[in-house]
Amino acid sequence: MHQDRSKNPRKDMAMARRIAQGDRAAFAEFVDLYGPRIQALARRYAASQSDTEDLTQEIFLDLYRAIAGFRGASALSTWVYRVAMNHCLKHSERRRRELQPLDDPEIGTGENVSADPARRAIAGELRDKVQTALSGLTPEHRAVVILHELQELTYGECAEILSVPVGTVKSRLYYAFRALKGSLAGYVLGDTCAPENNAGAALGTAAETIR
Amino acid sequence: MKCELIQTDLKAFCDNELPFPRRLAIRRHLAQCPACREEVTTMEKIAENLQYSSQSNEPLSDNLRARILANASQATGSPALPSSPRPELGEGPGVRAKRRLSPLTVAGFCATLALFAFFAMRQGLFRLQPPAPSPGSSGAQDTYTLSKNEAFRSRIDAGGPITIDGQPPAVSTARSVASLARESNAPESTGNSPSAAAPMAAAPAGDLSGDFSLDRQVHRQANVTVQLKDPEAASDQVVEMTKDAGGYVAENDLITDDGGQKSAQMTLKVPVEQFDTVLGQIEKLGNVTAKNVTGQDITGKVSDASQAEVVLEDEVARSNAHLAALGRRAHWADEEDARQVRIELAQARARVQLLHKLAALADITVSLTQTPKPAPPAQTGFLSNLRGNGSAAFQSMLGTLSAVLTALIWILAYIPIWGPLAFAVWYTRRYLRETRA
Repeated sequence: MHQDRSKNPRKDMAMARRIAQGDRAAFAEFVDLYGPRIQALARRYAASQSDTEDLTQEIFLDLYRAIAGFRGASALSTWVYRVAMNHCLKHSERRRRELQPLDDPEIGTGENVSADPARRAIAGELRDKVQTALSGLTPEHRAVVILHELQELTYGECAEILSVPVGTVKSRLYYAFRALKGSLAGYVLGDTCAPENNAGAALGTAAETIR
Repeated sequence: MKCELIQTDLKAFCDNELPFPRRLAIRRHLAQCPACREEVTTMEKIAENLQYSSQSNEPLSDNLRARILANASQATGSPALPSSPRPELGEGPGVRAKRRLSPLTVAGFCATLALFAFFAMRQGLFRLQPPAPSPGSSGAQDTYTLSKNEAFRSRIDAGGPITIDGQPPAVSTARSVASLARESNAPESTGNSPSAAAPMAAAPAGDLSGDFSLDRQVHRQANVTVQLKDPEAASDQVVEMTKDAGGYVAENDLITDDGGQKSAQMTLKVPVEQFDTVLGQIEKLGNVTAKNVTGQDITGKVSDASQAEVVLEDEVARSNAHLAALGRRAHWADEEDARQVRIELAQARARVQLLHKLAALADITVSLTQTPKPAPPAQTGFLSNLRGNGSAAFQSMLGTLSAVLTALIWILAYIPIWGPLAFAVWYTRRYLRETRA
């Protein structure tokens, strides 16, 4: 799931300028490049698949309107994440209710889920558990967990996106994990197998729970 | 190391986001602490499950992609698009975007500051000389003196070493620290009286109000160059002065150069209370040509070293207790660890002692140089003139020759260009002459 983040400031600026000038092809390229990541981010703040799509759409409209203001002070990906994150947090505040698990988890299953219906169901349950655990976190802790663990950004990138020092990212992650340990302990730590096989073990645990 | 001290770094340890020394320290701790090891394992498991639960970044559905592009097209149609304002980034909870100040605002702010500083200096608000003591206002007076000393100290703290120009204050544009110190402590003193001694120093700063000054540790250094007739005799005087002040001479070199000029290089260690006294006496020996006084606040270093000492003492006690508990079962690696901690403790103690010594003893480096003898009159005479003129003539001839040589090379190099031209001119003239004939 590692993203091929653009690290070329000149390329970033060129793309932003072309989009700002109304180049449709450049915007399509931009949507293809950042769409999957933004959709994955939006999914964590949306109540359902349709809500995810609406949120993704709003974010891209905002990005399109704002890209003329991109000055290249940071990487384009960081800027995109910052705008998207603001939108997600505002969206989450607007709803004023705790996040619900996806109402149609069948939609949007990824490559890491087997075609086997039983395993897919187990993976869906794991996702729901994680989503519920994440929704129990404070907005600050949830944001940093989503960016670092799910979007695989570094501490430095998270700090830049959230406009906080790296030390704050570090401590927020630690406390977020302590909270997650409390909410996921029974599910994740019920097994005794090696850490490298833990994901599979969690699936096994989930299967037993279902039975 | 206690678990509480490293717990907040455990997640960063798992993510490999710690600097190497910290990572090493945590690794050492984990080797001894099963609870923290378990915590790390738990965090790794949670992270793996989070990553497993996250769906891959699947591409947008065709429908969504089309809607996004259509939205953009509609937005392009609106005239406000090119100059549409950037959305406020800092509105979401927990997210604060950095706002940039416009150059005009910054310029206005700087101009206001400059104006304020200008008028404040004109009004004498920044003068460090305390006002004349007036009876009946002791409380306010103390506060004022304290603030001046604080200001003075903050210069040392902020700037680290402060260099003072040795030139007279009338020439120097910057106010020297020495003069500031004298003003702040004893305005009428010349720097030689004991009352003006060590205004920057920690221990002797009894003239500073409040306790805050007592725990400051400042290492003072001075370099002074004095020009005088007899450096040898003067160096003896400096040795005597240093001994009288309770210090010692760490280095004393007497040098005579090829021209017979004598000079002496000395490094003195004097108690910080006597720093200004000794410096003043040295300056009186002759003409001061250069002077450099620095004060470095080492309070932070002393504090760090002391804390390290305390922590290591605790470590030593724990390792001793651990060894005692193990008894004969103690492994050689445990004993090696205990020995290592004892060595680190001894090093920390030595560091603390050294820093205290640095704060207690000031360094003065003295260069005593002999007043230069009048230069011998230049030799005049037929032979010297001839030698000088001959050399100049030779140089001139070389210059002329090089010009000729350059011209020759130029002519040869451009033959392909001017050759045909010259031939054409010659041929034309000849042809015309023949025609006329």
